[in-house]
Amino acid sequence: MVARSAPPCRAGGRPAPPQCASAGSIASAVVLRLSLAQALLRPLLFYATVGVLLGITIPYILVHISDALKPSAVLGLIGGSYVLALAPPLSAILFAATSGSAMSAWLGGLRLHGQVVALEGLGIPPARYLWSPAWTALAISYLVTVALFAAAMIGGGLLLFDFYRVPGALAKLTSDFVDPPASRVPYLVRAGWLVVSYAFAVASIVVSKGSEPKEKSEEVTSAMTKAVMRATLFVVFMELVTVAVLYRYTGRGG
Amino acid sequence: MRKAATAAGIWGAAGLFAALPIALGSLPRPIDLEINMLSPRPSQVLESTGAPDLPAKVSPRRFARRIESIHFPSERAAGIGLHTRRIVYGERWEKEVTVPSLIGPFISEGTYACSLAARLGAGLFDTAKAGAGLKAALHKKLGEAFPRTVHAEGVSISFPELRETDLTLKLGHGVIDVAISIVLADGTRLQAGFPARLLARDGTPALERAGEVNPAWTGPTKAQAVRAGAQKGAELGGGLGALAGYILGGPAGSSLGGGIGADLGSQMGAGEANRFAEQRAKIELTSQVDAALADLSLGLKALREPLSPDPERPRDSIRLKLATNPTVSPSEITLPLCVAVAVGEPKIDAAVPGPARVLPPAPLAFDTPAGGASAEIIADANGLNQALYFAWQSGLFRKLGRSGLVVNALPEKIRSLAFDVTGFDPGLPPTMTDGSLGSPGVPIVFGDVGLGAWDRRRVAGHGAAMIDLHQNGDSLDFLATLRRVTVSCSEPRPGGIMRFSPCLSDLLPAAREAIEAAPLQQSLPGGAILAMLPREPFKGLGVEWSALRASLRGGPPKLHIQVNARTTPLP
Repeated sequence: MVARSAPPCRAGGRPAPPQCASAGSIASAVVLRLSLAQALLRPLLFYATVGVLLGITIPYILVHISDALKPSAVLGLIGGSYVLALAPPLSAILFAATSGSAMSAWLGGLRLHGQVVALEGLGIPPARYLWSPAWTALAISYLVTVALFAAAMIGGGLLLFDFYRVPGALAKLTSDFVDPPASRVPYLVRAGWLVVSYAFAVASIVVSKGSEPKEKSEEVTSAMTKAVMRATLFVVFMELVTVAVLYRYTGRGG
Repeated sequence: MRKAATAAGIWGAAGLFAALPIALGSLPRPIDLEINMLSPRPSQVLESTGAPDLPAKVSPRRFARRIESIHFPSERAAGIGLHTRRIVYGERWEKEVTVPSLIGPFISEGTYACSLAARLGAGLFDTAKAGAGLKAALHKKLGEAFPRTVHAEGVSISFPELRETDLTLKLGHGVIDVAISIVLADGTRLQAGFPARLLARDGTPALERAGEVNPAWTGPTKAQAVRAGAQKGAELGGGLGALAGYILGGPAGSSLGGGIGADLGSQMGAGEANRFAEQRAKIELTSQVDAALADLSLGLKALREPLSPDPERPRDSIRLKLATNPTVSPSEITLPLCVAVAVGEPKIDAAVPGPARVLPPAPLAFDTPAGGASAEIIADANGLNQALYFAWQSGLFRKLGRSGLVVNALPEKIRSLAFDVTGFDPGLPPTMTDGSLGSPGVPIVFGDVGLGAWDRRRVAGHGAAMIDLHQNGDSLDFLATLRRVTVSCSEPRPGGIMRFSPCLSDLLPAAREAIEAAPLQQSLPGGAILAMLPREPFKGLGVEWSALRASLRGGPPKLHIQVNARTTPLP
């Protein structure tokens, strides 16, 4: 990965050697790779497992809401709506707690041990070659995570739907995404917007807290905790606000 | 640099937050499935099966190929037709819109449709048993004519009061053999027998003599008439004899001639008086019998009068008339009937001219032999549709469907739906079809049954009820299984457009399964229905009803009601 327009390193006002630009690019690439490994690859199985289990549990609870309706009728009624509604916030909170904590701890550690100062000393702006690739990795990781999480929830739902012999289970579970009626499109729009927002917000919060100056180790853990809390609060707040906006819209138009 | 980055971040965040409402606001009005029809009402009324549908536009056009079109019970048959368009999204969202149509030809109000037949069993005319009331009615009618005095040819015959009347009716092939015997207060007895025919005259049954009345009478009144005649003859004979004797033999001859003449005159007078008495009796009895028959007509003259079932709606009327002459056979009298219904204002919908004629006119026949002293009635689908139309147009169905009794009886879960359930208000008359739908029972199709309001939209249900009626001892078990239930919403739009859209689509598949699996059952005690029948259906004649039996058969639909009857005298 080469930074095409990487500025030359600067140290003490003297022009930096040409190798600084390529060093920054290499650092950026390394940070990106390391961040992706931490934020995405390592917890991937964990996210998938949680997604499958929740994909079974949530509809299983809903099936027993009423004895008056057969389970297959309830499942046919709800389809995959719970995936569309819950995958973004659950995955965002889970991501913030898992990948976000890991990245925040890593960035905080770099700060604590002076590696960021060293980068600055080398004339490599940390914002461009550390925070930026870390942010990008987090955003990409979350987007992949939410897709994987939703797919895992659908997979879990499929197991339950098959257990209750619901015909057309896969089609019903994916109908919100693949073939929604016009009246359900706003829900899909909201979910898409939330995914983008959460990617932006979680990455920003984690990098922001992780990159703060730290002098003690407990400041690292404190930053981790704060990142998770802020990300979580952001998620639940946005859920509420966007639901209100959505229902106001659908109430007017539908 | 830092400030620029911060400003960029703030603008970016603001843009992101604004993106959602902008994105939602820019979406077009969501149309899952919609029909916009040029109509002021949420249904169609088409004059005939060949009439074209009202102009309508189905949306969304891009899914036109996926929209399924379903006609129930058939594409073009008289009666209510339900045209449902359906599209399924993701094998999950069933969006349906149903447009109900009432298709003619129609039996206009006031027009007769020959859709009923009545049958009276021979046992009803057994005046010793179930027909005793007929004898009493005849006695009452004849009693009005006695006592009476008849003057003729200088002779007066005084008939005293009527003491007894005996009547025998025997059904034959095309005739009724009538035998009447009356006994006057002084013991005078008149007996006569004659055949009678039952005809249709101005649509009502008329009982007419088909032969001579040849009475035979004996008793004091007749003896008195003969004596009077003999005396008259003697007076005349004596006068004539005296004149002849005087002419022949002077005063002596007059005296002799007078005596002989009186004897001769008396004998001649008695003979003449006897003949005269027989003749007068025949004339008198014939005229009284004719008057009694005309008045009685088996009590069916009341058919001429219109029936208004609801005292609060006197302008609603049901009229009956005979289609053709009744058929008389040894076991029964069959009366083919025509019915005309008319509903006064206020009507539910004046644009509906009458019930649909689902069957071509055809004579109705009873499938089973007559049962003794019973009255039976059968009605075909046209007749039943007239009854349904009458009940609908007069507001009876609306009144029942919106009554607190019905609304409060709805399950709580139904009343908790996302719209205000106000009851059941049919916008079109339920219609019995002429065929079967593959399920047991007789189908009645209902369309545009208003269930309530949802925002600005009217929620209406459509479907069919398979009706089954079984005898269960003294009760009638009534079973209605709902089939093909659909629900749609409608709202009027500018430009005379009626917009139909899906509603309750999410609940309907599950609810439909539950509704169709649980038929409505009701047991109607026969006694309660019998109590509603009139006790004095015919003038001067009381009737006791018992043993109600009813059945509803399909292929084509026919309702058969049979009830035992016994005529009783009225004070």
